[in-house]
Amino acid sequence: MTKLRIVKNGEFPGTPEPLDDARLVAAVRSGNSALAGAFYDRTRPVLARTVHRLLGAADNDFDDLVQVAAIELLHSLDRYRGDCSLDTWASTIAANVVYKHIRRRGLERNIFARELAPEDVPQTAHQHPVLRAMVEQVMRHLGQIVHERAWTFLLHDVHGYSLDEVAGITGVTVAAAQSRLVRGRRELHERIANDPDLAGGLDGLEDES
Amino acid sequence: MIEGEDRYARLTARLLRSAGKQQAEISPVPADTQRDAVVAAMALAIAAKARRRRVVAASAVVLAAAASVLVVLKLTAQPGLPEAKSGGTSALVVEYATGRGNQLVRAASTQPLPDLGVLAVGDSVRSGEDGNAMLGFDNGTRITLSSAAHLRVDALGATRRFSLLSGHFQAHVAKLGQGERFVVSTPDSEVEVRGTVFTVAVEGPSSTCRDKASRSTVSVSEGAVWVRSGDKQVVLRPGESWSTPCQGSQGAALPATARAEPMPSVAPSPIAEPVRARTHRSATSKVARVTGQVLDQEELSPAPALAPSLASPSSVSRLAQQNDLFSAAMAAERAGQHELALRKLDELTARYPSGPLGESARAERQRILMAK
Repeated sequence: MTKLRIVKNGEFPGTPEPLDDARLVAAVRSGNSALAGAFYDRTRPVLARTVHRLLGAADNDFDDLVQVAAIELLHSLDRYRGDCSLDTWASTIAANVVYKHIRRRGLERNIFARELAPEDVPQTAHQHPVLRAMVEQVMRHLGQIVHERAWTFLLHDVHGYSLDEVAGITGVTVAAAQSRLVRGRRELHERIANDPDLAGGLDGLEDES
Repeated sequence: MIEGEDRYARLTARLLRSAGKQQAEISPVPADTQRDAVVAAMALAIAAKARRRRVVAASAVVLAAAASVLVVLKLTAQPGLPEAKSGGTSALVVEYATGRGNQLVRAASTQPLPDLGVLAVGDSVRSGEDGNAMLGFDNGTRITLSSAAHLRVDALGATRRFSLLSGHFQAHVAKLGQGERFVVSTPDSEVEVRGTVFTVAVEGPSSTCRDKASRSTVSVSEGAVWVRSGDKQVVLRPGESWSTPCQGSQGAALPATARAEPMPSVAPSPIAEPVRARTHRSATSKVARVTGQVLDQEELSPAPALAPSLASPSSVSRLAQQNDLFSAAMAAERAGQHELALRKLDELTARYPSGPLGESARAERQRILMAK
């Protein structure tokens, strides 16, 4: 009778141990092109996830931007000091690629519609029509405020990037990023406060939660 | 309940986060349809980067060699100008000299300070009464001599050592590499940095002091500077300065005959130096704040009245010993003795866990371990 046993990774002779991030980065940085595949497999999920969140998967440029982000990430490795995780670094690089792409193509006004397209909004029970309407209104307001402030708000408050990371992504100082965030929040608040339907909807959502 | 002038912005963020999370669940990230192409592009980029690095390094060597040849040719074609140094030392070049009276003193002979002249160990540069000069290393370190300054070059290897005999200069020291040091000696003190902007001045005897010795003043604009004077050592941070303690600072109030009397034997207490410096502000000093951090108090017995203001024992360290340990570790590493280097670094971090070199030691240790 054949017995099965659980083996740990690397227990079999000749099984290469997976490289940890530090060794992988060091090897790629030193010019080991044989590890391109391993590096790509390691970082692709976070790059794709970031591009997906910021641009939308349906965007025609999705695949191209993931590739550009991967190459940018390679070039940025000389600046990577290990102060944050490789995932965080890769996410910031990808966000910067998307940000530059949006600016270059003059899509600032459209990004907020793409960010959460109505068809992507979850159709959960009775909230569906309300949520859809609210998201559309929010996007309209975001599209009307200064786009740097809207981007800063989106990156920081919605996507969870730190101020340092937002500053790196948008190419400004941390102080400028903070200023944009504060002004963006205030501007958005004032716009929504003057929009009774949306304000009421958000109040209602807060009460439900 | 969210309140405040950005209430609706925060509610909006919550709404979008919630919707985005659910959106991610219902529309996963698209599968990778072009992995092979991307990996091939990345492999090319990695190879190109490595090749470019090699080309840049080779080009730098070639350019450096060509530049050295040109400098040597230029210097040898002009009699009286200093010759370029070679062999394991950093070239210190006179980038420019303005005004009159700037001189180069070499082997007891004096000549006008030449633009683009290369200085050698033992050379002295004297700036004229209305002159000044800028000296530079190829790594970006710059030394600006003000008028009537006298600077001697003592070493140009891994340790760059200078003596400021009179006057003052400002130095902008680029970040030093492993095992490199930048040290300036004055008649009564020694200044060591690792990458900073600072000013050193040597002044003649002061009328406000009873002693007749020249005094040094060190002011820091960026980074940190360690000043050693006798067996004392202080660390200066940006905005701080240090002056040689004026022994008998009450001298200015004494009649001339009293000033000629023998000085009372007052050993300069390190904590007392900044205090005295507050009352004895150099005429050339533009620093508004004067403080210092005592580093080697283990050997000191401060007067009881001063004891409360001394640094706590935990902050006490011996910077010179840390320097020595770090330098020994780096020397061992360069010699291929990795284990010895690791032991030295471990000793450094164990004995001085919060010392100024602790972070560098830990980083070097990590680097050595990864390279093994």
